[in-house]
Amino acid sequence: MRYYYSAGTFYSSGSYGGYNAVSSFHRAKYYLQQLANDVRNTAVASFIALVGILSAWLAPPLVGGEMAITKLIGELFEVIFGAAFTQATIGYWLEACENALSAFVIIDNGEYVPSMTIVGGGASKGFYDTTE
Amino acid sequence: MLLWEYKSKLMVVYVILPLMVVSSALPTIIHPYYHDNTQSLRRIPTLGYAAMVGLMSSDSKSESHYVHEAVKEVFEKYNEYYGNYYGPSYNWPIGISCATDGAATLGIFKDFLKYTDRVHIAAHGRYSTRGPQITLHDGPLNTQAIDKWNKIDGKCLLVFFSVCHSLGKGDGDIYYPLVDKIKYKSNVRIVIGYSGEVDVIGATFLQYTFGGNTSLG
Repeated sequence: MRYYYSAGTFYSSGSYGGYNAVSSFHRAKYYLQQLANDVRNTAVASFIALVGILSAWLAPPLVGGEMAITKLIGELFEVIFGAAFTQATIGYWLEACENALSAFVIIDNGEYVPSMTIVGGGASKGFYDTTE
Repeated sequence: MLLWEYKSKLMVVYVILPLMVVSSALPTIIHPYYHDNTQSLRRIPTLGYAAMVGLMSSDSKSESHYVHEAVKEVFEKYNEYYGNYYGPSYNWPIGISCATDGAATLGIFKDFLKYTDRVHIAAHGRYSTRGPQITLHDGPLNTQAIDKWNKIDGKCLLVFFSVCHSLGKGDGDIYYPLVDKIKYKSNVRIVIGYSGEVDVIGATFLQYTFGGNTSLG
């Protein structure tokens, strides 16, 4: 016996698509991995740039003048503070994500446990049918 | 002529009354077939009309409570977007039952296993020589505590522990007895948790992703 439920029944199979608890688990891992990658690839660069620009803007007034040395200090601020901020914030979030990913465990015997949320097709008002 | 004179009464006696009798008996006649069909459907719960989650957090002042709040928010958002239809449909809101602080006891956990479809626990946990010890308000949830339970014929199919060491001491080590006992003493089929310590930020992210992008189960 195969079971076909519409999207509104929280469970579906075959052409209706859908998730169960196990696929939810793997999707959650996948999304978190993607999040970590996105943070690593884009946020780090933009954060360095943002903090760097801010530091470079603040540094000359702090040390005074528009001399070459102040520009150099500004650039140093850009590199050091940018990297430090990135390490302190983004790095922490990355570590947290990776820690959760490595510790995440599912124990099941392959049983199908349907999702609670609707899947695919939005909030269609459901029906269900069974076929052999 | 006589038949024509009494045609109305004859119609009532020979047509309408038999039809009424057959109609009233129809549910009894088709019940066995209908019953068999629903029995087979019940093999896989649809969660349609009575979907309920039980969320526990044993310490609302600790960091682990963030995870609890995240899960709660996921279901609140779900209900906000999808669960606003109370008509003859399966898109009813998912019921959320919360037990925090003093209410997060072993007894409530058992009640949740019985009456809700999914249980999520956000709490502290540690690993001892006797396996994982999940801190609830009135004592640890561990294999020894579960051994004392009677069989719970409940609705819950999935338990999610947002708890450090809930499924092992870490580094790839997984502790099965706790899960085996929960599955043996209840109808739970899947248990999700962490082996070793888990960072609360990561656990919150993961829980949010698990519930938000897919489902709690």
